[in-house]
Amino acid sequence: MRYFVRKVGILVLTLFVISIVTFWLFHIVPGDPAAMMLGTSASQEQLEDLRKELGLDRPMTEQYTDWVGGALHGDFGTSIMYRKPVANLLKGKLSITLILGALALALVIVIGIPLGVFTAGRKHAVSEQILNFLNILGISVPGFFLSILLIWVFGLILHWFAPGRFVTMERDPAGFFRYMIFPAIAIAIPQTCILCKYIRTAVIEEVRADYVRTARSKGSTKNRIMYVHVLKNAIVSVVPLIGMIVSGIFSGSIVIEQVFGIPGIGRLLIASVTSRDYPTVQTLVMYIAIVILIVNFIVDILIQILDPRIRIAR
Amino acid sequence: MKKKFMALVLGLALTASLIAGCGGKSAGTQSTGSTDSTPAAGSTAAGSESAGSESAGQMVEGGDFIKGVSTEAPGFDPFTIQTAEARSIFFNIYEGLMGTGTDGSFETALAESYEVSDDLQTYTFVLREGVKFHDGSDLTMEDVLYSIEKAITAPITGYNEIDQYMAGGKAYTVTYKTDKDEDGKEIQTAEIAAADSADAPSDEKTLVIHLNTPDSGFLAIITNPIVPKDAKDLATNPIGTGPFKMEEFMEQDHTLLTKFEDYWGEPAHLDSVTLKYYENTAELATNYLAGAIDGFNSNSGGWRELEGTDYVQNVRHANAVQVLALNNDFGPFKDVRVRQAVAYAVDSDEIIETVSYGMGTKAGTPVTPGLQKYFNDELTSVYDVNVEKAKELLKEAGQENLSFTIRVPSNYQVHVDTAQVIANQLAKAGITVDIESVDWNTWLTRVYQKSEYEATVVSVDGRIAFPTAFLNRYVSTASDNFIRFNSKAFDDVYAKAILETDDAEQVKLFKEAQKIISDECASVYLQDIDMIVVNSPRFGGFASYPLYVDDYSALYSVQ
Amino acid sequence: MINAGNPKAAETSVLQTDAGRGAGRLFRRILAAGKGGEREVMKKETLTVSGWTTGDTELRIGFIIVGIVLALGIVSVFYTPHDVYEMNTSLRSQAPSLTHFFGTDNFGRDVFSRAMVGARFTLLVSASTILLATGISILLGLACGYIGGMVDEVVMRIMDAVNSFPSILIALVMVSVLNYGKLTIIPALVIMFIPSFTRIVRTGTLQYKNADFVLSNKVFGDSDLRILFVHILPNIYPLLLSSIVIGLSNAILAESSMSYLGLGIQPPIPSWGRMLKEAQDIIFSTPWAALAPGFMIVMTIVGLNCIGEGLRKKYLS
Repeated sequence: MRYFVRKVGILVLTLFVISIVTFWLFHIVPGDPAAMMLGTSASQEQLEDLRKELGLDRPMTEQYTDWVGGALHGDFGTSIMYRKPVANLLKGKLSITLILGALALALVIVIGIPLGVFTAGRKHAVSEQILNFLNILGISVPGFFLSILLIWVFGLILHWFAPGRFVTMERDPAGFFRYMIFPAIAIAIPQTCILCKYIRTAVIEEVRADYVRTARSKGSTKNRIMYVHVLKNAIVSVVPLIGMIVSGIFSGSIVIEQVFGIPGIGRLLIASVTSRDYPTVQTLVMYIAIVILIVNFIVDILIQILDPRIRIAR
Repeated sequence: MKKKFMALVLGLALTASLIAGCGGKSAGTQSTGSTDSTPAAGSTAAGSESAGSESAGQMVEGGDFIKGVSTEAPGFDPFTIQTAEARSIFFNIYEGLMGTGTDGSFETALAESYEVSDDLQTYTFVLREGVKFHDGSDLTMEDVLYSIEKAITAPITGYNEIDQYMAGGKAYTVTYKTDKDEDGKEIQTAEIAAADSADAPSDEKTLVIHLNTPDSGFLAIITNPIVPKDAKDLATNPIGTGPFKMEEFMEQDHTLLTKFEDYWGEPAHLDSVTLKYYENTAELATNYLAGAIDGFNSNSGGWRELEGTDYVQNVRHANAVQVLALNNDFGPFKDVRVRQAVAYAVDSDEIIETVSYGMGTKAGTPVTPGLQKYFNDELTSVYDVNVEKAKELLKEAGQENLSFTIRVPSNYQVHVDTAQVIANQLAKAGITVDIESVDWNTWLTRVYQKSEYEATVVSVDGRIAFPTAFLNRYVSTASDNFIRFNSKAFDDVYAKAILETDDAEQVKLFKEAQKIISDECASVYLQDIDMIVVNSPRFGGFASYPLYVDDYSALYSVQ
Repeated sequence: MINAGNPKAAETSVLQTDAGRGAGRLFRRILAAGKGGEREVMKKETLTVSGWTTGDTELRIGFIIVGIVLALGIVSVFYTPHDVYEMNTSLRSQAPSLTHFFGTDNFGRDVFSRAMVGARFTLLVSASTILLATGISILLGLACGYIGGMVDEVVMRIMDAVNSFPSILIALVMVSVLNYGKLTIIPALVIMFIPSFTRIVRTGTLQYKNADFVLSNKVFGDSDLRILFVHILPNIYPLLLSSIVIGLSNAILAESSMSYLGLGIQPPIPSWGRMLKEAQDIIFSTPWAALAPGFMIVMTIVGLNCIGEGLRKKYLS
């Protein structure tokens, strides 16, 4: 319990540090949303006026304290660019990015785990070599290059989907999922390779464990051993990876949303950084940090529960 | 272009433009929809309406058009948002008392008729009847007064010429105060006082505007949108009187415009136009090929990707002049000879050929060639490439080892490419050029607002179809004079030009002002990059204006 | 740093300390899925030990690939088949041929020559990034691990913060602060890489802080600095080396992503990321312009990952 309290304390502290750093970074970068709205055909007067209207003439520290004050009450401010509450802005984007992430995660798990187990049982030189190489290749392809290739091959040559024709789920659920599957693949491939490799190693290690020998000598079938005992333990041992995979999926989706033209969190982040939309960026950065930190937090706790053998290094 | 099915709106004009691109006299030849056109005049006549007429098929009412765009409008409030892309959308949603025609002339829009006094200081407008806003309310004089007041206080450029306006038995007097802000910059504020007046027209239809100086360009200024009096949140919920109304906006994804059934004029042909927003221009051609969009504007060669597919290609001026802007306050550039040397070392023909694939019009002056009446076409070839002369001038100025940095906005690939070509060209004259690509917001703040740069490449467009939109920033005291051009001669001629009441004389003065900019070599004016408007053959209709706008009411489906 | 031309040198440098094996145990524990007995199992069950199991094949492939890329980069300093910057519209979008191995781009520039120069700058950026990041991380990690307490807590929380931060924001800030120099992307990347390296060094330091040999040296009166740099650090090297190799490939990926967003190496210098971005506009008419830099990136990272994997298998299990 003390461990839990301490962890939560650290989590809050980290979030605070992140908010300060974001604020400080924004202080340094030149530019403001007013510049973006007026472009190259406005006078100094218009600029000053708009800055006042948007509340950009207030000192940065005040903008920060306002945001923190509001955030503590669940109010994340108003997007300067889009003139609507950041919370509302996020609502629409969040589901898109979460579904994309969930799809990618599902692909990673559904493909990665069976593939890992399957290949663990086949340790012949040739198949191992091919697998090894494919794994390394999968990890080595940059997300955006993979996306460009997917768009080019499946979108333009094979016409399996129409790149750029994103539809919201409310309008056309089938079209939505058909569209999302390709970006999800682009995000999932490197992560799948990582998971597959670790599962394979873990399974191989487990197979050698004493209890397997015991079970085998007791007469359990090979499959039963494989899927009931070995797999269970192997999965437990890759739980720490989940945190890494989730944050990999998240950061991967930022670039991939750009390439595929998906109006999710990642694109909003880049757009609001470009337009210097302070409340939106602050909220998004905090949001992403919270997701990543909480996932890591849950993973830590999960490991404690699942496998008391593994103790977290303090 | 071999196999390509291309219903060129201006087949002739395009060919002419390619030839003109090499020859000197390019102004006008390829213009697509400007009035007094030249060899291509025959096709120009078709320009405003046509397009698909030869592309087979029958025009049908209805249909939905999806246009790919690479820049999102940062809101829809016409009194604060001023970007070129936003104005292009506003053109379809909002209307002013006056409107701009395809030939650049000013037509009545929400005003039924207008009168201009001989001294060009009093403008009288009679409001059109039966005009409805998108929210169903009727257009009244109150809305007009509200919009004018908003434009004066916003302030929208040009509206600060108004010193009084009268309607409905009341006179509104505007007084301007000039304050200094904390940076010492002059900031003008306006106050409006209303009083009953016997001089004011008593009916609810007539509006009299009085200016503090004569201005023949006021008709261009008064094209600014009229919005309903009680309009709230125009930024997210725009209400105008235009042929399209905004139905839906999804951040980073699309804007849906639908046909406004109660439009006072000829209603739009299409049922809806969706502006689908993508992060970069590269995706436009790809997504067109994938069938996700029905058309897009391309000024960086994206259209070349469409080889072998069906599309209708319309060409128009972007009505923005791409310029290698030289900061006149930067050490070496204080010397006109150095600026001239740079101009002589830059080969704009090569830039047009390389970066714009030949689809551009040499400029030579800050005024776009699309504004034919005022464009001084004698200046296009003044600084034709001459490396020897450039070296000579540098030697004279003692700047043989000139080196400077071009700070270029990274989101405009066409400008980044141009900077690279320029770097190659200047190297031949012994000038070393570094390139820094900065993000757009940094560019706007550092380069455009604070002039913290040595040189930059950018396209400068005009807010209205009048030369002041291009030339005003060269006045030494103008707050948007990011080039820091400072010429007494120019200031004088320009001041005279805007006050001139005789049309022909005014044209002459504006041309003279351009000549001064050219003589002083304020910067290097490269080209007006042709805007290639690509449409699917399922759609026809294309209208070109001497403004950076797309007119969706001209578009129609083809069967 | 790894000497690609001479794999033996790299091998021996890793093997130097006995403690390397200790680090191996640690590494296994951290990954919670070490490959400890795999080799053993393989021997038993297949009776053949392929190069893949010992890591030799990976190392060989890796060094060959990285060696070729490095050679291309070095040669580009003295010679490229065509001018890298000169544009020539009559040579626009030429398909790959014997004169232009990778074809030409939309401005008639030779893609192969640009890829060569790109190799130089991309490798330069990633190598200096990792070098700097490792240097700083060693200091931070040793300090955190050894001193512990508040210092540790504060530094590690900052690391957490930086880590969960969108890298685009960091890059944007760095390039603004440092005024968009040609290579300002390097400090931006350094900041992004410090947290993970610091964590590795810190964990390693914690592990050895109370090890018998360290404690006994302490008893003999060795100074803290000596203990840190002479006794503890060499034990962390093997572990660090593997991360460095992976870090190199991540740095290449990061640089190309940044360039893709327009924040990387400044034009006209070609970097693979920027070449890829610029070629995205022309993927239909000139696909080779996009495929070539993409291929270079993938191959280099495959090479580095092979080396990383090989090193891990060979010395850490």
